[in-house]
Amino acid sequence: MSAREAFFADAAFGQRFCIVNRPSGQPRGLVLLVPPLLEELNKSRRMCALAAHALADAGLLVLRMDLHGCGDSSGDLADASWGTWIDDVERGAAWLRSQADGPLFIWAVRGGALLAGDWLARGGRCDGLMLWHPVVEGRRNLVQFLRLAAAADWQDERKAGASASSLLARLEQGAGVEVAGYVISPKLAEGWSSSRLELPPGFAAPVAVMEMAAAGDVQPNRALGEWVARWLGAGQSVSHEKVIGPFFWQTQEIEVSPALIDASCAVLGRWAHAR
Amino acid sequence: MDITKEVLSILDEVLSLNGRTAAFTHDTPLLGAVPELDSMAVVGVINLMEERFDFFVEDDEIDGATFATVGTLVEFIQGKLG
Repeated sequence: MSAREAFFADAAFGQRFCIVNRPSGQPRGLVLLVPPLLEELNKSRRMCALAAHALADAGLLVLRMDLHGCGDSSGDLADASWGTWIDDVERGAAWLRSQADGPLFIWAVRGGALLAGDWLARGGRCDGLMLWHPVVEGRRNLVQFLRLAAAADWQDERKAGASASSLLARLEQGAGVEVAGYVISPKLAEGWSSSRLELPPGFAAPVAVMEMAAAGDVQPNRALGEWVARWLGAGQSVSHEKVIGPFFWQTQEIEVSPALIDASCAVLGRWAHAR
Repeated sequence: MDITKEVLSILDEVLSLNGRTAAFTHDTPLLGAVPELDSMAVVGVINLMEERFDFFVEDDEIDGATFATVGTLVEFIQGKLG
């Protein structure tokens, strides 16, 4: 049995909404969710909530912090920047370490992997990095998001609307853009676009890449495969697990993958046990 | 690789059609005919196509007409894979 509580943490530019799942006894480890970005977060909330609950039942203390300007925390998205989000990752890690001793594991989902990587590059420390179908290149992820504006216009009587590339150009010229109700500032776009998933030199903690895959004879994800091969070649401890299930951050209905939750509990349980 | 099969798998998955695509043919109309295919879903389909087929879609290569039918979508991918 585990328990859930919600609270606001004081931070720069106001407060952050936090949900913590606590195990019944002394935690075996600490887990910080670094969430996917914007609309992908919207689609992933249920998966993240179910996984946090399961991880706490497995003896881990799990923190989910809403990033600056992301709805439940203070501020408007238009004021958020990549830098304040990286600061929020550090804030979450520090809060967990103030609660209990034990190894700290980062659980990053999709674009959250970019934030986690940039946090590590700035000196963030953790004892394991679990990546749910990570984004390895920020620019592509940003363009995919900006497409929401273009596609809305296709439906609207085929009018010639904003294209993803024209929105990207506006951001690069220093103007904000609004896409599907999200107002993106140039300073957020700049950090997102230029981010690539890297591990810092000498990173010694294990990395687990969890790739979602469709059932049947489908194409493997080449970008993720190459990323894993590159870091294995560099002597990094990286595991790569494919889980059959829905691309829940992208589907129309809210979907869940119990298999991914089970696999995640197994990975983090193993890491916590090894410490 | 069976592109039509992959396309139907992507549509089924993104639109949560629960196997309804089994009855789809190349002539099955999509945009404006499949209610689940709204703007968010169109983006989901493009994004998943990029990931599944490992290509990058430029703005000017794609528009509503690409999503007219299953067949137009398959033709688009055939063109990209060249």
